[in-house]
Amino acid sequence: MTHALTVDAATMQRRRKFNYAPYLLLGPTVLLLVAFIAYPIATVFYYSLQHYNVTEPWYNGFAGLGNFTQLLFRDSKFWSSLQFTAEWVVGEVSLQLILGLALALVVNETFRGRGLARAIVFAPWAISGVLTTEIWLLIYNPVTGLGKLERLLGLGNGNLAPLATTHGAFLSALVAELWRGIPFFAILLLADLQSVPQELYEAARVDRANVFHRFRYVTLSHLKDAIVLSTLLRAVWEFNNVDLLYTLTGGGPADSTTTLPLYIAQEATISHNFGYGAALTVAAFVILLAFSGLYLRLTRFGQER
Amino acid sequence: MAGAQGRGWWTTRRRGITGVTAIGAVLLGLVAGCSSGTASGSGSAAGSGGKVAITFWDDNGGVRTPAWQKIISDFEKQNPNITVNYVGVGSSSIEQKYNTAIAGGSPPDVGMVSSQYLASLVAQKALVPLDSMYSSSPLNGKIDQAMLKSARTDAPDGKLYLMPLTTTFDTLYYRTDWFKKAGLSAPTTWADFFKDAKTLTNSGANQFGFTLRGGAGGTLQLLDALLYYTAPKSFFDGSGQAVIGSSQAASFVQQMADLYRNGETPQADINNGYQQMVSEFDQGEAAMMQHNLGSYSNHVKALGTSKFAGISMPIGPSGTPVQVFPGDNGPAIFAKSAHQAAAWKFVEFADSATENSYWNQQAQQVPANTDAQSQSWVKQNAAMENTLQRLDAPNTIVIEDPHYLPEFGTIMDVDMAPLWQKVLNGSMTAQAFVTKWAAEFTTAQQNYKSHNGG
Amino acid sequence: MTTIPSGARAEHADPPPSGANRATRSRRGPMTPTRAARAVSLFGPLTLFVVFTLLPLYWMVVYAVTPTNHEGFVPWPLTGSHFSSAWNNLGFAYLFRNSAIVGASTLVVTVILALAAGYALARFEFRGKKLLILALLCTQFVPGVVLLIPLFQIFKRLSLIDNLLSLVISDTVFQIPLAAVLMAGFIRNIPVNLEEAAMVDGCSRFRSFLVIMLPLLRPAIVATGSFAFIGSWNNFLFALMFMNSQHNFTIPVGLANLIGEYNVDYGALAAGGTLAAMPLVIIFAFVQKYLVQGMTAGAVKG
Repeated sequence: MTHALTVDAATMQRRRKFNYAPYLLLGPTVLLLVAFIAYPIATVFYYSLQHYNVTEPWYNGFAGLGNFTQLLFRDSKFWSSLQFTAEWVVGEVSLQLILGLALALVVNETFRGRGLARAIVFAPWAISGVLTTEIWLLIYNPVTGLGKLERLLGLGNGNLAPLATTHGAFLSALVAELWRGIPFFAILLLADLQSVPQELYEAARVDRANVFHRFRYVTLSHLKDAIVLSTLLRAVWEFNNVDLLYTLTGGGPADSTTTLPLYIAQEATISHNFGYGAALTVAAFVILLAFSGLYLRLTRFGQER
Repeated sequence: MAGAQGRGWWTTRRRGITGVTAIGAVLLGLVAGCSSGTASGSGSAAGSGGKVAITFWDDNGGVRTPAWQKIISDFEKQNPNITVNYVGVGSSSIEQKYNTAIAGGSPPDVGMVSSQYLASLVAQKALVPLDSMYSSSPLNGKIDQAMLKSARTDAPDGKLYLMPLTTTFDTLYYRTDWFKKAGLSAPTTWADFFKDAKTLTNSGANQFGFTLRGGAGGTLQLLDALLYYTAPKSFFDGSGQAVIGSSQAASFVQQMADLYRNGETPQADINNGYQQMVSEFDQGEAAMMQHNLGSYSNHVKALGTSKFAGISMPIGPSGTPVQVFPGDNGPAIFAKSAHQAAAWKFVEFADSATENSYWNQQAQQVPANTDAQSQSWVKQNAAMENTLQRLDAPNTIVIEDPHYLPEFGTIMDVDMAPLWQKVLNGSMTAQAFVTKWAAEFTTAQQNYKSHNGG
Repeated sequence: MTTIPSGARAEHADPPPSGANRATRSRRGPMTPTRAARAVSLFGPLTLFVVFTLLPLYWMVVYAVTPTNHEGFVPWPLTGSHFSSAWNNLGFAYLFRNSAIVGASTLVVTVILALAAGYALARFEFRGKKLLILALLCTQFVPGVVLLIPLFQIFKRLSLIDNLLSLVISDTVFQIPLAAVLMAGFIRNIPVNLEEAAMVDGCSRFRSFLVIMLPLLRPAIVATGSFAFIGSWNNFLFALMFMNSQHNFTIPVGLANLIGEYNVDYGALAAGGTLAAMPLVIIFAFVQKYLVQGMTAGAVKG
C-alpha cells in the first residue's frame, strides 16, 4: 500500500539554489490577503485592547487587558457559548464528513440516472444560507411545516414545535445545516476520488484485500489530505456560521444555541460594544489557531504515509 | 526527468504569471466598468447644471418600496432639479448598515430612522439637528406634538434629529368570530384577556387563546404589555429606580408565562419572531395576538375584514388606561451630506399632508401630519381610531420606553430576551426576571444621567 | 439519515463495475446475490439522500406555486401570482445580472490564483511553507461581521464603495484560502512524473502544466470554481453593506427584503427563493458531470 506515485517535490527542489518560483506563484494571493484581510484583522486586535462603544463615547479609551479579564473571569456567556460552539462544530463537521463521504462514494458508482441523481443531491449546496434558513423555518414552523403535516395526516393536533426545546433547537439546526453541508463534502471528495489510481485497487485485489481493507487502505488513505483539510476548513466555517442559527433559533431558547460568533455579532451589532466584541473575536482567533495547529499535528498532515 | 528545469522554465513561468495577472486585471476592469458609470460615493453626487442627486435609505425596503417610489416620483416632478436615489434596506439590517456606513464615512443624505436607535446615531454625531429648518418651514405647527416631543426626548441632547413621519401603536388583535361564538365581548381589561385566553383554548383542535412572542422582539412587546398592566406614572420613580421590578409586574409576567406553560399558547411560541407569531394568528390557530397597527394589512390579506378586529391594549387592575408611546419613525438628515437643503426639501415633501396621508394609508399607520390624521381613511381603521381616542382621553397615562438609553437595545435583546425564554420554560422565576430587568434599567439610567448632565 | 451501511461505503470504493463485478464474483463465489446486494447498498442510501434533499425543496416549491392559504401539500391548484409579485417587487432582472457578474468574476480570479498558489504549495518546498498554510487558515478565523467596518474603510479609500468590484475582491479574498489549499491537495495527487515526462518531451514547465495538468485538474477546478461562485453568489452581508444603490444589489439582498417586519408573504418569499435558486441549481446540474475525470482514470500513470 505504499505510494509509488507520491509527490517527489524534494528531488526537484534539490537541484535549485534559490527558487523564486513558489514565491512568485503565491505572490498575488498573498498580496490580496495582506491588503484586504491582514489590516482588518489587525484592527480587531487593536480594538480588543480598547473600550470602544460608539453609543457611550465617554468610556472609550485604552483598556489594557480589561476586556480579556472580563471575558475570562466574569463572563459566563463566553464560556457557555464556547461550549455550545464546540458541540455544534464537532456534531456538524463529523456528520457532514461521514454522510458526505458516503454520498460521494454512492454517486461515484456507475448506474443509470447517475447524472440526475448527482444533480439532485448536490443541489442544496447551490442554495444560499439565507434561503436555506427560510426553507427550514417554513418546515419547523408548526403553522406551515411539520405541525401542519402532522395535522393533515391525522397524527396529532399539529402543536409540534421542534425549535421550542433546547435539544430540539440544537437538532433542528443541525439537520438544517447538514442539508447544505453534506453536498459540500460530497462534491469535494468526489472530485478527489477521481484521482485514485486504479492500479492501487488492482494491487489490493491481487493482495486479496477485502472491501473494507480496500476502503481503508486505498480510498481513505488517498483521500486523507483532502479530508484533513476540508474538515479543518469546514470546522472553522461552522465555528463562524452565524446566519443560520441567528435566523433559525436566534441563539435560543434561553441562549442554549448561542455560539461564540453569534455572541460576537450581538455585541458588535446590537450592543455596539466593539471593543469587547473584538476581544471575544481575538479569543476565538486564538482558540481556532491552537485547534488548527493541534489538528494538523495530530493528523500528521502532509506527511507521507 | 533530468531535463525538468533545463528549458526556459524561468521565462515561461514569468510569462505565465503576467498572463494570469493580465486576465485578472481585464476581468476586474470589466466589473469596474459595469458599475463605474453609476458608482457615486453615497449620495454626494452633484450633477452639473445645478442638478442635485440625493440618496435616500428606506428602513423597511420591500413592503414599503412602492409607496416611497410614488412619493419620490411626485417629488421629482415638483423639483426637477433634485433626483432622489432610493435604496431599500430590510428592517432587520438597517441599523447595522447605518453604523457601518457612518464608521466608513459614507452615510446617505437622508434616511428613515426609528426611535429605537436614534440615540446611537446621535451619539456618533451622524445626524443634523432639524430644529431651525423645522421652525422656519411651512410644516411648523402641522406635526403632531406628541410625536415631536418623543423625537426630542429620544435624543440625548433634546434636539430634533428625527422628523416624525409615522408611528404605530400597540394593538391587541382578536378573532371577532371566535369571541362571538363563545359569547365573549372584546377583551378590554387584562382580567378579561387572561380569562378569554383560557376559554378560547382548545388544544385538541389546535386552537389557542393567544400567541405570544418569545423570540426576536419579544421583550419589547412584553415591556409594553407590562406597562399597560401596571400603569406607572413614569418609567423611573423619583429616586431613579425603574418601576418595572414590582411584585405586581412580577405577577403579570408570571400570568403571561403561565399562558405558555398551561398550553394556552402554542408550544412553538417560545421562539416566535414576528413572522411565526403572525402566521399563527393569520392561519387561524390563535384567538388573540399583541402587535401594532402595522400588521393590519397582513391580517386582512389572510382573514378578510370580518373575522378579526384590533383594539387598544387592555386596561390593568388599577383601571387607569395607559397608552405606551412607541416612539417615532421618520427621516433624518446625515451630517456628512453635501446636499442638506435638498434633503430637507424631500423631508418636507414626505411630511406634507397629501404625501404623509398617502404613505400612512398604505402602511395603515398613524400619520405625523395632523391634517393627514383627520383624513377619512383613519376613521375607517377601528384600532387606530380607538387608540387616538385613548390618547385624547384626560385620564390616560402616556408613557414611553426609555429609548434614549444607549444600553436600551442590549438590555432588551441581548440580556433579557434569553431570560424571558427562561421564564417561559420555567427555569427562572418571574420575580427574579423583573428584578433584574429593573436593575439593568436603573443602572443604565444612572450612567446616562451622569454623562448627560442629569 | 444518519446511518450508512458500512458495506455500502466499501462497495462503492470500487472502480466502475465491469472490472469490479468480475473481481467480486470470483471472490464471493456464484451463490452471493451480488446484484441484489449492490442494489440495496447503492440505491438504499441514494434514495435516502435524494428524499432528504428534495423534501425541503418540495416544501418551498409548494408554497411558491399554490395560492395563499392553500391547505395541504399537493401542488394544486397552481398560481403564478407569487412569482409575478416576487419578480415585480424585487426587480429580479438586475439582481440576477449583478450576482452573475460578481459570481463569475470571483470564480475566474479565484481559480486562477488558486491554481498558481496551489501549484506552489504542492510542488515546491520553500521556507515558510507551513507558516503560510497556517496563515491562509488564519484568514478564515474571524467572522465577517467584525471585519465589516475596516473593510468598508479600505474600499472607501479605494473609491470602491457601491462598486461591484469591492464584492469581487472581498468574495475572492474569503474564497481563496480554501481554494488554494484544496487545489494544492489535488495537484499533489497527480504524479510528478507525468509533468516531467512532458518536459522531457520538450515542453516548458508552464506548457506542460497547461497540456498535462489542467485536463487532469478539471474535477478540482470545477469543485473549487463552483465553491467560489456559489459562495459569492450567496454572500449577503458584504453585498448589503458595500453597495449603496438599489441597482447594485445582488440576489440575497433582494431576497432579504422579502422577509421584513410587517411582511409575512410566504408565497412571495417561496417564489423569490425558487427564482433565486433555480439558475444555480440548473447550472450546477450541468457542471457536476465534470467533477468526474474526463479521461479514463487509467491514464494517470507514472
